[in-house]
Amino acid sequence: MNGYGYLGAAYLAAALLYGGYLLVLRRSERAANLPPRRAASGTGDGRLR
Amino acid sequence: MAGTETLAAKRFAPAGLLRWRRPLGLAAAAGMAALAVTALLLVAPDAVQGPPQRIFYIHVPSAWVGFLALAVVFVASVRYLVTGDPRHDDLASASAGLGVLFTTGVLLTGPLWARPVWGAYWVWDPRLTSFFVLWLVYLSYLALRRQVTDPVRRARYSAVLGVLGFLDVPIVYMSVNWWRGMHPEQVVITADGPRMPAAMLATLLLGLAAFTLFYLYLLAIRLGLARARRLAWATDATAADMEGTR
Repeated sequence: MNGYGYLGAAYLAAALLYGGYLLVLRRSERAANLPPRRAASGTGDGRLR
Repeated sequence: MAGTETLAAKRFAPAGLLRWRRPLGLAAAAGMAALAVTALLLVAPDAVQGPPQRIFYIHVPSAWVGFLALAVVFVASVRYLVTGDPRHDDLASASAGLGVLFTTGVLLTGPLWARPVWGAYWVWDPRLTSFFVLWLVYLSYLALRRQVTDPVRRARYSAVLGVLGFLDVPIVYMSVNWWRGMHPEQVVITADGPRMPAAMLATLLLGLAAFTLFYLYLLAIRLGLARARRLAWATDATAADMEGTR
């Protein structure tokens, strides 16, 4: 593998790791049945209970 | 332990982050796209290392955000131990997961740079070894949280580990100065100022900003989830108590 191969592999690995984690996190959020707005606002006024 | 009503009345500053979740997500996406274009296409290649040097623009920001996440774990753990407020435990656990994520990113991208430059994916250099230990400590933090079911004991044990584990961070950072090894020394924060061309420094700073926004976005999601799980557990525990008293 030449230098471009290692470069591509590193960026691909990072994209899969971080992108995959984001997808899993969003799926967990849906599974927990949290509407994003309510989950984000906590008590509704920006405070966490 | 503070009651739910007391907690609702008491301000918890990190919760303000949750209101910025959507703008953070958009800014992080824009920052990452700009970083990819700049790092892969616009900035000039390194004359000595060639294409693999561009890995630096995601490797260093991953390390920076990893350290930031673990610093948040440290502060939240100390505050939990002092106050007993479970919202600090929510913050610590949310940030610890992200600390492991970003340090894993460092451990993936580093060897892919090292192989063409050093001729080996991994060497037991002081920086690499101390960083690997750091990764193991926070992996064990996550394992500990899975093993202990009682939320108060879980929060207390993991807060202690969150404080002690952070002792390795300055060791990792200073390892390139304290011991001779193969890993490059700091090139940005030095006594003589940054030791790199302005275009490379600007690309690195763009990477640091984009990764920090991405971290804050993920932290907002994880904080919401941690809080929801804690409240669900409290509701279940209350229902179980009521069943037991009938």
